[in-house]
Amino acid sequence: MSDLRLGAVEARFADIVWTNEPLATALLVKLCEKELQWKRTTTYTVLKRLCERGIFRLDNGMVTALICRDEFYAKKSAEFVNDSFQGSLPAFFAAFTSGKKLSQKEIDELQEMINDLRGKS
Amino acid sequence: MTDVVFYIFSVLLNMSITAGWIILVLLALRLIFRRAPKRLLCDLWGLAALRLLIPVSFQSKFSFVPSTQTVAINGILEPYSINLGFDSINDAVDAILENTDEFSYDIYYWIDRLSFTWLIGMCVLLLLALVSYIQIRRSVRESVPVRDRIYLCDGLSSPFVFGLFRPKIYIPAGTGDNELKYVEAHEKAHIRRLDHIRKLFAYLLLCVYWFHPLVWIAYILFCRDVEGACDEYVINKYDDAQRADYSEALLRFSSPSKNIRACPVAFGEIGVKARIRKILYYKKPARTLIAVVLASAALLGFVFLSDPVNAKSVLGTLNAKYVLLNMDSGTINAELTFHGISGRGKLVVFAHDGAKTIYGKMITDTNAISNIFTASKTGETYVFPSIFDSYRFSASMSTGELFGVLFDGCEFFSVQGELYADIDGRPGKERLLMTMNNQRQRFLSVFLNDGTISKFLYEFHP
Repeated sequence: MSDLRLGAVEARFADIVWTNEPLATALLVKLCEKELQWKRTTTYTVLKRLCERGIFRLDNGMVTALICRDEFYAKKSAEFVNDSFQGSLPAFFAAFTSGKKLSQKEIDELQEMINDLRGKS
Repeated sequence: MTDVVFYIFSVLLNMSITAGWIILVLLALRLIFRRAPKRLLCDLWGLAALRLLIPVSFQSKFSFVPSTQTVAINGILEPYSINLGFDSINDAVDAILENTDEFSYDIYYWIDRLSFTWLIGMCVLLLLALVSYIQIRRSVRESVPVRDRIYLCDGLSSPFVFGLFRPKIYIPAGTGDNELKYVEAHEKAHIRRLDHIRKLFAYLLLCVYWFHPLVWIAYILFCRDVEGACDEYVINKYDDAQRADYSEALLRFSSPSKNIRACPVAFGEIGVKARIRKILYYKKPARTLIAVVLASAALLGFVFLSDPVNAKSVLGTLNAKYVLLNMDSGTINAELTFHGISGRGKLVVFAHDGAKTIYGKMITDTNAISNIFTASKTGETYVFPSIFDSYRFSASMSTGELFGVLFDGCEFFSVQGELYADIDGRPGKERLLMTMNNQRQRFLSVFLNDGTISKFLYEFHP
């Protein structure tokens, strides 16, 4: 079971990996240096940490993702709803949309998602 | 090694007491000039810092400094020697004095002990700052550039500036764009005003003077004033709406005050409530007020940065005087009287015949009329001269001998001593005046006669 914590800075790093994985560590270091102005050691430190959290994997100098980006954020949202709204999705929606009326477009989207779910179960 | 530490600590002790006066006055001024622009206050703190930094200063009659040498120091690093004008006599007396010089007055004993504690305390504080610096440097490596010199960093509760030569602004995640505008203005103002350097400097001073409670107070208040001055600088051109937004940003990032930290101070950490109040009610200070504060600062500078006239330098002194007696031989009767209140002193009388000490004895009995014949060394208890004390002693002195009295006094009060000597009852009173004011002084009075001089010069020339 992976740890779904990801800070703002770590998220930027994770994005780089997710966008480019699988990639060699050497390339990752270069990318991080270019986009984040990070030193080599910093890249390795954060990579190691996220590997320990079970998000990425380092194997023979290659970095791969154990869980892809969409899946990660989906799981994280589920976790959030679980923690904050006792797992009740309707409650989450209510809180999220309280004070705002849903547009017809949004209602249609939601309806489609519910239909999909029904179709799956 | 310990000598050096003691010496440095004694010097610092004196300097800190002197600076303490100026800090007290600054505290009072701060209360009076509450509405004055904070940046002026920061500069006033600079005056105190100056006094803490520089051991000596120009002397002026108007100095309000009570004393620059509250705790008198003897130049213990210098070889103990005197100059009476005659080499061989100097050497002879030096030899005697070396034997009687003992570094064990209680207060100096304590200062000696404390100096070591001071050194440890300073090293601890410096170490803490170093450790903190290393930790912060490590954490801000994992940051993401936002724009300019601004970086996003995880795990922060409020924004701060870090870095001495190329300071960078670090902000926590979730800082809104609007907030960022104000944070950026504030931190950039800090950088422009060189506050990060000033605060580092102040902390270094604190490390050195950590033993003085007033210096801690000054440091804390200085940090507050720096923040206040920065706020003023920023909101000078803001309208009311902007000021409100600025205060909101401050509030948003305010956290319960943490321990005093050496390095960066975060955006909302210091005295937030007072700062917000000042921001919201900010009015440009009147020119007259600024003028008054500047004038006070100038006056303060002159009055407290100068040393009192005749202030002895921070090094110690030895006064030696000699009296040439017009006699061949006879009995010398001496009376040493003290007026005033003194702490403790050490009194040694000695006679020297050019080759060896005939006698040297420390007076221990306050009422003693002593005839001194046998040599004895130190180890006796100390003398407590107090008001109206007098010590009488007599010794026979022949041609070619010298007779001396050494008073080694210290402590914080004023003592005047007079040494009368007459020869065989002849009213040839020679008087040597010794005055001690809040200083540790050593007074050496030497009586010699013609024969002594010729003997020392010609017969026992080293």
